[in-house]
Amino acid sequence: MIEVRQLSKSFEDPDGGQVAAVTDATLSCAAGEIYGLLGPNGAGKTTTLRCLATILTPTGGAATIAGHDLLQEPEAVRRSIGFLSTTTGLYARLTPRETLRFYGVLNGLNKEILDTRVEEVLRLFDITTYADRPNDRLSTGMKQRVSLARAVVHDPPVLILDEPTTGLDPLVSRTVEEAVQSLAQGGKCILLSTHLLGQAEEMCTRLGLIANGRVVAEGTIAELCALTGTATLRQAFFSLMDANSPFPSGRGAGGVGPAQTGSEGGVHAA
Amino acid sequence: MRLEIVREVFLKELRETLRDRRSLLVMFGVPLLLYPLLTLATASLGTSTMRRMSERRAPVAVVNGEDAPGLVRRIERSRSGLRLAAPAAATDARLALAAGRVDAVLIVPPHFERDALAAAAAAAQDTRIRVQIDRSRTASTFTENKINRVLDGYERDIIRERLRARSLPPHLVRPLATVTENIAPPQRQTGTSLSYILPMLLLVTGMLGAFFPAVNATTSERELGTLETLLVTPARKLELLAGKSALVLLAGLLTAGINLLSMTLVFWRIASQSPGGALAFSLDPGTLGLVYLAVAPTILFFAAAVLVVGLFARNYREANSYLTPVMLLTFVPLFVSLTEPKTTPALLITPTVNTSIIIRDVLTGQATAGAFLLAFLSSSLYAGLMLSLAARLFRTEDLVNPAWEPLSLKGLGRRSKDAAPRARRLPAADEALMLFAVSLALVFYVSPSGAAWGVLPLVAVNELLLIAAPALFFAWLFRWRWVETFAWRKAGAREWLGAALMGVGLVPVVGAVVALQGRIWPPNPEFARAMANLFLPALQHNPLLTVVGVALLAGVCEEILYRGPIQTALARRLPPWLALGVGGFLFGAAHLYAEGLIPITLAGIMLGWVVLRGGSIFPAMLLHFVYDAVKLATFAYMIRTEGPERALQLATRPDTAISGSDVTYLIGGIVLLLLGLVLLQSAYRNRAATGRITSDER
Repeated sequence: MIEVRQLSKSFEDPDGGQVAAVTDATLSCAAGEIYGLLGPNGAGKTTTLRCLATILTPTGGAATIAGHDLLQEPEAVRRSIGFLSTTTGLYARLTPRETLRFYGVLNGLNKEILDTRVEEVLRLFDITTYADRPNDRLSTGMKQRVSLARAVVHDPPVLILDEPTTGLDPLVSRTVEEAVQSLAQGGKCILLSTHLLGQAEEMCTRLGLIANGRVVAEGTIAELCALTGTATLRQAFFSLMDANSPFPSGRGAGGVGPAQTGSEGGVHAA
Repeated sequence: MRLEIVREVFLKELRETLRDRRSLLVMFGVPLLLYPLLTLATASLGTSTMRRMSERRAPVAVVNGEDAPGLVRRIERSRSGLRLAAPAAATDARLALAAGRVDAVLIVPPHFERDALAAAAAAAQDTRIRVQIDRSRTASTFTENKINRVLDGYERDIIRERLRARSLPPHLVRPLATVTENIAPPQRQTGTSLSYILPMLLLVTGMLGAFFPAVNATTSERELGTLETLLVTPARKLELLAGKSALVLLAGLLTAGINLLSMTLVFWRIASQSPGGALAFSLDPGTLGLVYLAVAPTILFFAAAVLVVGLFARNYREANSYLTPVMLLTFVPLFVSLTEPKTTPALLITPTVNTSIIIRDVLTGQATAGAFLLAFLSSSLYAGLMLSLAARLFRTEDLVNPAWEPLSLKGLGRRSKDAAPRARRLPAADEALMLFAVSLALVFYVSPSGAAWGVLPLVAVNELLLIAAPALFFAWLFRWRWVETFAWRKAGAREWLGAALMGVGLVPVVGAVVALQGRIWPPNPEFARAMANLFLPALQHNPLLTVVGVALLAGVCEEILYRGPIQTALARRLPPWLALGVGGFLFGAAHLYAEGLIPITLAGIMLGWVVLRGGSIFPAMLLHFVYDAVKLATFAYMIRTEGPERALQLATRPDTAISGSDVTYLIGGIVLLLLGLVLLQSAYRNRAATGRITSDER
């Protein structure tokens, strides 16, 4: 469903130079899978996801999403994805029902199926009781449910979720996590970014570890542990992060294949 | 463009706007309630004060009134609007005046009436009646007018008596009878006064009406992060923007329309109340419709400008502060209409000013269809350009980057002493525009003071200190890379030759452009005369030094600024053709001379192309030098052969006639220009590898 090959994105910095935010990211994610992009803040997770959501244009590499080429058919890509991040808000003066209808039309749903689909999604996320209340009078948990419903109103095969639970309390986080898991069980291909090790461990079928704009290791938790010779995801994570730090601390394993290319690259995230 | 998406976006924006109390208040509340009330309140307050002032019998004290009984009698008549306060001594009367107990004091000299009737005023004596008033009081004007009327009557009485004493007829001293007639129809009077305020009011209200919807459609979407979710839908950016801008533009038009309507009703109300139609009100619906039609494209222009402001701003506060300077632009029509300018084609295509001019002409019944169409079409063009700017901005992916600051001066940030020295870099567009503004302001304020120094010192100060020095100073301050910013690269022999040929060829070509322009836009000979007068003495006494000195200074210094950082920065941000256009325009505008704008812009584009294409500033300096030198040398030659008087005449004649020899020169110029162009192109092709600044350094 998602195939990314050597995706790169660099920005112009105010001094006229170039800053590489993502370098040669390669990953893949199948239907029914939850792929976690795990990395510290500023590692390039958001930029990668924004590139895949066609919000940013990559400066190198290629990707296909649901069979559509990212650069050649951006509109078809957009039709097949749902996108959500915790920084996304809702229109304060619209109601959940109006919000869903609006995004339904924008995503090309026909008039005939629009109403049934909106009601279906409202029921699915348990929003029906407050569907006609203005969004700014909803609680954080309700808002997050509406946001998720908004992202899947057109029933896309692929979901791209940028840190979907950051800033939420544990209860609301659990609601979101459960909803995401049930969507995956329904056959959606889900790519999510997180910096929470626990969340990655519980939810994701596979993980890509990202540091300084590079995907430094990829695999299941067991594979990552084997690669680094560690016992837990936590240990594997720190081992890989140390090996790929732009400021080597002397600690850590340092012997992992892709990690060495990472430290040689000398690329600094913004 | 899929209409159902545009419609859905429009409806969503409309829904949000209608649920926003602030925008409703601005759109409907202010025009419908506040300002009829305000107008009526101030108007009735004003009228009642006026009535009270004129109907009241103002108390005046007359000192030594017994020596002017005729005057006292006239004051005591009820018609005079005055009443006599207790007669008093001069000092008491003055105190009473200061305390406000009387409005005026009249001091009559001794034996005034007796002497006046006898017409025997002794030369030594003061025979004037003194009138003391306190002008700091509003009532004083009314009282003064009443006193003047009484004194006029008193004077006539005395003259009549004198004539009677000499048995002469009274009309002997009134040889002149005058009647003043106001030929302006009431519509024109109302129209003129309305035309001062109406354009500004409509533009400001239209802009305010557009503000909240625009902020909601752009800034709020960025702030909320909803913009991202819009951009990941299959809706195209242009469709999104079309829906959004449709509402913003509509809100602007609607608000201005409601204001116009409400204001008209208020006017009608006041006029219908005023006795005898003192405020003649005769604006028919057709005229108002035309006014609205005339102002509509300019409202669209400002609404689109508000949209641009909204896209630039990261939050509501920023949007507010960016709006202020744009708002000030709407005051331009007011200032222009106060100078009561004639309707010229140039004014009819000047942004926002054209609206004010055409509205005045419509209101005073003087507008022609052609003028209306010219103003309407040019305003529509500007509105279209502003909208396309909004569309360009909306397409940039930086819009979803919260750190994006298109209007920032980051380069000025302070750094700690320990930090490594900042890497040298290329100028940013905002820095270059600031540099342009600094240099322009310096030239504007400093160079007029140097008019008396003579041409060469003036040009030297202008070019070295006000044009080149700021560019070099900025380069040092912001640590720009010298070689790339200023395109300091060696040029080959062919480039030098090509540039020199182009410089010569450009003279008749620019001359032709000026002549052509003069046909549609009558030139103002004042500027040409002032320039010729400035150069004449120097060219007469020191022709070689003046020609070479001035051309060298202008060629080198102006290129350093305009084809240096300004062009380099623009070329990094804009496509090459647009960078050249904008750079050329700035170069043209900097000459602070309206008729030179188009020809100098064209010359600037050509100079810019030479630098952008060839990567070296030196051929452009030569081109510039040769052009200026040839022009000045021609003038110097004319002075020598024809004499200064005739040369001055030739230089300042309106350049609209094109003679046969002009055509010959023009053809020669074009040939030289093309020859130079071919030489340059062949040189560039030769070293295509060491190429263009734009594509390499972006």
